[in-house]
Amino acid sequence: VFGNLIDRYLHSGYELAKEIATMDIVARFSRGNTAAQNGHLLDDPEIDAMRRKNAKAMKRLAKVSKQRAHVA
Amino acid sequence: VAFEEFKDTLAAIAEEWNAAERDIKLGEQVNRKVVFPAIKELRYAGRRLADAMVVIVNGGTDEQIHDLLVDARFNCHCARHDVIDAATLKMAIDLDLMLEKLGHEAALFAFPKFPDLYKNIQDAQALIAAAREKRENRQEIYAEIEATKFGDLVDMFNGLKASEPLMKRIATKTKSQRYIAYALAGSSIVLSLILWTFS
Repeated sequence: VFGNLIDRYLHSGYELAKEIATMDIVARFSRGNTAAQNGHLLDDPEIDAMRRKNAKAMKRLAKVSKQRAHVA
Repeated sequence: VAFEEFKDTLAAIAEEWNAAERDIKLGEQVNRKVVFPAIKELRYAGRRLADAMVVIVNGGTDEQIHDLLVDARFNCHCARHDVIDAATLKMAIDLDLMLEKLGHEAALFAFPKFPDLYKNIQDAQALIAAAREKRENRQEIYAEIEATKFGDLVDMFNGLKASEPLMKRIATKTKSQRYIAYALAGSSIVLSLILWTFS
């Protein structure tokens, strides 16, 4: 138990860094997807709204992951 | 509407879709979240196909149908590229984080093939970078990565993940020893200062 606690304490930064990297990758590639639609289906205001919504969702996800990593 | 005209395009979409799903399954083994962008692309492809069906039912022009089908195919291409890019990047970052946070010794001891995996990922990233520059050869380059590298990389990465607990344990031991050494050195200095002050 003591060993596991030490592991968690010493490697919490490592786990958090991996989770943040995952979120960054998802955000980076997801953003590009709206451009693939090329305005054909969504008009500009709709794409902007979608982008804002995605950005908000990503921030929320990052926050949840951070909290989860902290609890773990 | 002459459906024969779209037979090849539809077959190509089915082929691309299958390839994208295969890549997504591999990508999921790296990390379940990094395949989200690719799944989104397939969702867009599905939407384009639904739109094409609506145009067919409503008696739209061949050009309208063709454009929508080409869009769907393009989305399948994007899904394949996204999952390869995202999974390769995730593997590269995880390897760097292992070296940075757990240390070279722990990584090498727990997973002796670490340098090979590192090199293979760098090679794959170099190919991806080349694909971005050479738009005309992009499809061929990604097909090469899929055929020769991606599956092997994921297999090796799975082996690495299996070694991660051992890697962490070694890193803990190394860090603990270092902290104990710092603590002993600090205590010795403080003790020496106290003795020197009162001598």
